[in-house]
Amino acid sequence: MPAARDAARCLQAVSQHNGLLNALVHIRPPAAVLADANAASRAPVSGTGDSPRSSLDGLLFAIKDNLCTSNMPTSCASRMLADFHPQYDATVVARLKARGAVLLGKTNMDEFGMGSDSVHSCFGPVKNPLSSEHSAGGSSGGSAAAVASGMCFGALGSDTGGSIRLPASYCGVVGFKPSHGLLSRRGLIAYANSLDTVGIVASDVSSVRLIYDSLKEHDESDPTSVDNATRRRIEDQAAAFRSSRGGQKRHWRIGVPMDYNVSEISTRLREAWVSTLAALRDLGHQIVPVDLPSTRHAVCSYYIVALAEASSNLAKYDGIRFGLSPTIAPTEAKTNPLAKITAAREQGFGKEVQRRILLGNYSLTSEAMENYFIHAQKVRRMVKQDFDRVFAFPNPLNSTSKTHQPDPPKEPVDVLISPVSVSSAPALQDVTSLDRSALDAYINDVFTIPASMAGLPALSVPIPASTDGELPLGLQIIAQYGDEDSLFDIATVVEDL
Amino acid sequence: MSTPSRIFRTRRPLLLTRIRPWICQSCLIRAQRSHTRAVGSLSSDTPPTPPVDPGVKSHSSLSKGVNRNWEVTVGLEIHAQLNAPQKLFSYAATSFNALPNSRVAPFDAGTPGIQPKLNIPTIVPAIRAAVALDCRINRRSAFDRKHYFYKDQPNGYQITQFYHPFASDGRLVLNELDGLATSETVEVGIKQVQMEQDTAKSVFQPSTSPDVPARTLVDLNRAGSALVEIITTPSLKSSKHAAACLRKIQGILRASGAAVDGMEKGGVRCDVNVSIQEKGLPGLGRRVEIKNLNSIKAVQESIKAEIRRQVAVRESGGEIEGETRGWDALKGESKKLRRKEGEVDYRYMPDAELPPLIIDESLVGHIKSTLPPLPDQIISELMSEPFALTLKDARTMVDLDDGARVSYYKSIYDDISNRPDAHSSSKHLGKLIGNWTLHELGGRLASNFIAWEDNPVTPIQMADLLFHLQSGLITAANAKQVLEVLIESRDSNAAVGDVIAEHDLATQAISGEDTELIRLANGIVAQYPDKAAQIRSGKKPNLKNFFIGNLMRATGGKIDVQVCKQIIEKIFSD
Repeated sequence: MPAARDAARCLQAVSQHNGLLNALVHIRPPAAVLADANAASRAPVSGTGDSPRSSLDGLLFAIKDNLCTSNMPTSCASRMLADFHPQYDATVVARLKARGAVLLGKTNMDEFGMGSDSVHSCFGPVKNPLSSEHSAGGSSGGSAAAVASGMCFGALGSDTGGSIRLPASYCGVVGFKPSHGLLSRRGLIAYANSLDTVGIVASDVSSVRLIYDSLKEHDESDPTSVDNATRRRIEDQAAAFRSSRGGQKRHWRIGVPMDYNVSEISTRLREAWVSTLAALRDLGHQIVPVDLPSTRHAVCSYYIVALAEASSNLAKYDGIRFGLSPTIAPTEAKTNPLAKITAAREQGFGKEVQRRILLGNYSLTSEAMENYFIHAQKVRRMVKQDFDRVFAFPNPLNSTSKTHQPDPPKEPVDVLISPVSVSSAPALQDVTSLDRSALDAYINDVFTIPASMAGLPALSVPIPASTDGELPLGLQIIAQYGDEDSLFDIATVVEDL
Repeated sequence: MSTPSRIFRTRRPLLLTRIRPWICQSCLIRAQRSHTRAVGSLSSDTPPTPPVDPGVKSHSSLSKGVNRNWEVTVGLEIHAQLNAPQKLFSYAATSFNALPNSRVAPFDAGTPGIQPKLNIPTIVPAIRAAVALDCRINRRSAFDRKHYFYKDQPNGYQITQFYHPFASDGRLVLNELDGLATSETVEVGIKQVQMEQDTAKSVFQPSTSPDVPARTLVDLNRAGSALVEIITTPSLKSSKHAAACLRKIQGILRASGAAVDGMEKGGVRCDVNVSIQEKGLPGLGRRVEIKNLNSIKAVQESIKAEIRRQVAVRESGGEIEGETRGWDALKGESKKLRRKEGEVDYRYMPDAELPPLIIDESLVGHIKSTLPPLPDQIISELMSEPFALTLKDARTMVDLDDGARVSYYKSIYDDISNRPDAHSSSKHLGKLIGNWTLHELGGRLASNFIAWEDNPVTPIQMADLLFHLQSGLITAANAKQVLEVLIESRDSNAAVGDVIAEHDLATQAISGEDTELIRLANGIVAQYPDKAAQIRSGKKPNLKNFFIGNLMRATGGKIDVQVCKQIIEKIFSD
């Protein structure tokens, strides 16, 4: 699919498809979008004088509705924030604008990022552009669908446990989640802040890379944003390592996590995985089976950490500054001082969000803390150590003291390749059916969660359908922390197969 | 999992007690403690009210009335606003009287998408506080979220340091300087000191008419300001000690520069934990927390009342429930806010947004070396030579106006003692200056309703005046007049010598042999023959002072009192 570079065509795609797909929940007036696009492609970027124009000039971007935008509402697809009009742009949005990108609108999502199919939205579900009966994936389903249907050149989303990679794979586009701390989270409304990253969706790897390169700067106002000195150190280490291994055109060592080969993977997807690995081997790359034994504990630990953080991050929505302000009977207000807050939260949050907050609150209670939250943090460290044991490039965030160095890997690899999910996009009817357990949705996150827990960069690259009518599949590539360059290089190789 | 041997070991003592006659556990422990065979206190049926053991009683600091049989334990949690220009995690300025909601950064209002960012300078006053409380500064500490819903808590949680506070294991000693008996000292442990955010202020507006409903207004100016919470160990044994401890901590916070405002301005707030236990029993009784006390008086009264309440419950056979209570200062009683079962579970969680706080030893060293002297040091210094003030005066000087009188006092002392012949007088210079600073000047300022910070008398003027007095160039009575002139004129440039000359208040160099003066004295004595007779008969020798005073008045206070005394003495000895 060619990248959508023409604003007028994008707007046409919006008017043609958005009614059905429900990908955008707020659209700027088309005339304003066109005017911005024309201005940006004509004039050099303001303040740059006669320097060359930015490569993003005049390109349209859609922004997930959990990224703050000063000229558009930002609701997180929640009734709670239906009236939230931020006074500021998220740092990544401001950077896009500064580089000449034009904002098209805000994309639909699972409420506060909580879901895998973009069906838990106060705006209704997103439909898959390739088959409207199917899920677009979540939680950044609107961003993936907008790119896949040609509405925009790129889209920003967020990825907490797979929320960029999963919808990208369902919609047949490229979805990228960077190393935690390399893209600013200022203005990304938190779901689970230690796992949340801003993510990028575009139709091909080179576009994703272009967008990432224009966003990856230190941000003073994000305390978890990696500082400039550390960035330089990581880049230097990664570059030195790459050149010592023969640079971009070398033969890669590609790890295949055997623990990811679970029985739930669909036959077609397993075949695609295997044939991709075979094709890479035929190109001279080395395929190495690796063990990531902590994977089996990753999902439950992920949900403990993510939901605990969610219950905390969403505690600010009490109906006092945002959201509904329900009327409470005076008698009730008298007996229960929290009655108004309770009512505001019951009415403002959807079912899935309420469920996750409850679970998260439970694991933080004093009686459960030790058994759940603390334990989950330990598993999280184990997951990270698993990765550090298989990657050739040493984790640049690890302490430099000798005592903390893990044993050097026996058969070190450059990247890992796995499926993104267990199958192609499920039918919407199945994911919304009443007798479906809430837990069923969580199995889809099994491959994407480990990279999130370890804070590693990961990317979903589409494997086109071999026959008509089949939905696309996605393969995930994971690299060591800060080794985005290897990730993009190999993704390009896979994309070109 | 328990091994069989462990189970056996825990059971064995139970078996032992079974084969013996039942012994009241508290009596047994008391017997062990006092190393006596308290045969009479062994009982074979129901546990009686424990008999008072003299050995235990003498250890107690509380021996009066109601607490005779009960060991009181009190711990304090003190919240103090740090002396920092900006909030803990945002760039907003701290303020006390700014227009409501005018000192609010987006983070303070809980704006979605905005993260906290530690304001590094706020850790300096926090470290000052901890160092002054003799704490260990932990090189690595971290921030946690404490969750609860309330309208004054915009993020739904408070950022604090629950798991890894930046300072722990401090101590302070209460003694005579704090109002305890001369031989009494109490060591109070400081369990930890942690940094945390303050809350917003909510103001309740009652309904003024049927169509104007009651409402609560929220002012976020205070939200997110930096606090330290100081948690003492449960080592206080009475309300008096608790009050002394709180007073002392406030003094230390102020002197160290960690906090500016005390309780009177709302800069310090206090929660107390109170429990009682039968004397001699190990452990502590169930604790009751009284929250949000905003004066030392409230702390003392509420603890007293809580002890009375708990003793009454226990002595009528009841059990103390773990609960949180609030204090009604007007009624002088506490009321239950919530029971232990209804306690908020704060769901403490490490805050992943904030990196761990690393405090370098060199910073701690610098703060230690530049820490101003603490109240106890200043009091001790003022009580020793060359100042030699009484404890009461030294205490007053340190307590009043953030210790501003101390530097005033010292600059006067330095000034005078550097002048030649300053020490030739029989009067004790340190005491003299103390008396004049605190009482003569302090009293006159107070009766003129002049705050100390508006004191018009400069240290130089005061030094000049006291030097005149010390050198016998002016009498005490006239020096007081000069002081009054200085206060009234509010002229800090006025030279004391000029004032004395202008008002003709200088002491005349007249000896006791001066015939003019003797004639004047004889005239006064002749006016009061009855009084003179009483002196001569030896009935009321003190009436001499009456004549000395009259003689001084008659000379306009310009004659040295010693000279007047000499003349009067001479008249009556003839």
